[in-house]
Amino acid sequence: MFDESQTSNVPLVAELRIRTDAAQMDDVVTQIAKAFELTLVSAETPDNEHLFTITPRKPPQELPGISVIYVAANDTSPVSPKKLRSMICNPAYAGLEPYTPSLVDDELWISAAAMLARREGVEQFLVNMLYTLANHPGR
Amino acid sequence: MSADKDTLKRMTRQLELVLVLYEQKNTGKSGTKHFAAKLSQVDRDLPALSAKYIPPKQIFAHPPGFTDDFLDIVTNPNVMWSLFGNPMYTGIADFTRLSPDERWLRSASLLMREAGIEQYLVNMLYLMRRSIRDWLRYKE
Repeated sequence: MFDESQTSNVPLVAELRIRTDAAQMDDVVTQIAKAFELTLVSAETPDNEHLFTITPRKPPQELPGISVIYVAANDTSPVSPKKLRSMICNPAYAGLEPYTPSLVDDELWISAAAMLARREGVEQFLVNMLYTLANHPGR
Repeated sequence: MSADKDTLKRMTRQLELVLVLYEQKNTGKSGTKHFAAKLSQVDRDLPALSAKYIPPKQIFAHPPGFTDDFLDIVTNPNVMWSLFGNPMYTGIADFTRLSPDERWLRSASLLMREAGIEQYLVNMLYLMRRSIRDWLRYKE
């Protein structure tokens, strides 16, 4: 049931034309480069349009390290970016009765968690999720 | 994005790991797909549940051997979902650990890459809650 492209030796190649606000172009390319190797086909295009050939990157061989911190349930210190990241990647906040009550609805948690997974990568998200979860329910 | 049909399908799935895509219909050109893309979108519809819960007791009930029951279990995609779409089986809370963290993480990442991020998370929440209900009933 897994993607054959992950075992196939034939590289997948496609052309990708990006049209966006010129000020956002670098950020868009950086985000796409997390999943693809990009080669600029033609630089003779307007600032808001670039054409690339792209080929998918393979999933990382090594799992990334944990990049979140443990946030205790009774922690009242100010919210920091690291703490916020720990909370977003923890499904316990969506509610795992009777271990943990729901603090946000499923749609909101899934949308926030998916955004984090896209920013940080699938493997990084799962590593962090497992860490936060292991330190949460029933504690 | 331009490529042959099969490549387009795979590349789109990969692109969805870093961007939320909205396919623009009726662009009129074969081998080319047009998308609007965002990093996130909070109010969009989530995918419907696509996994069924199979209790571990049922998965591991059949000793290895090419019996019909065993083959039914090992070829059932819901078995993969039930084991690797549910982090509770890494020994979360008072659950029995069925998989080392690393094995679970590697399998879960393949499943998430294949199914899509939102689809994985929708299924995961369901499978976690369903297994907790089962586990609490078993403990009573």
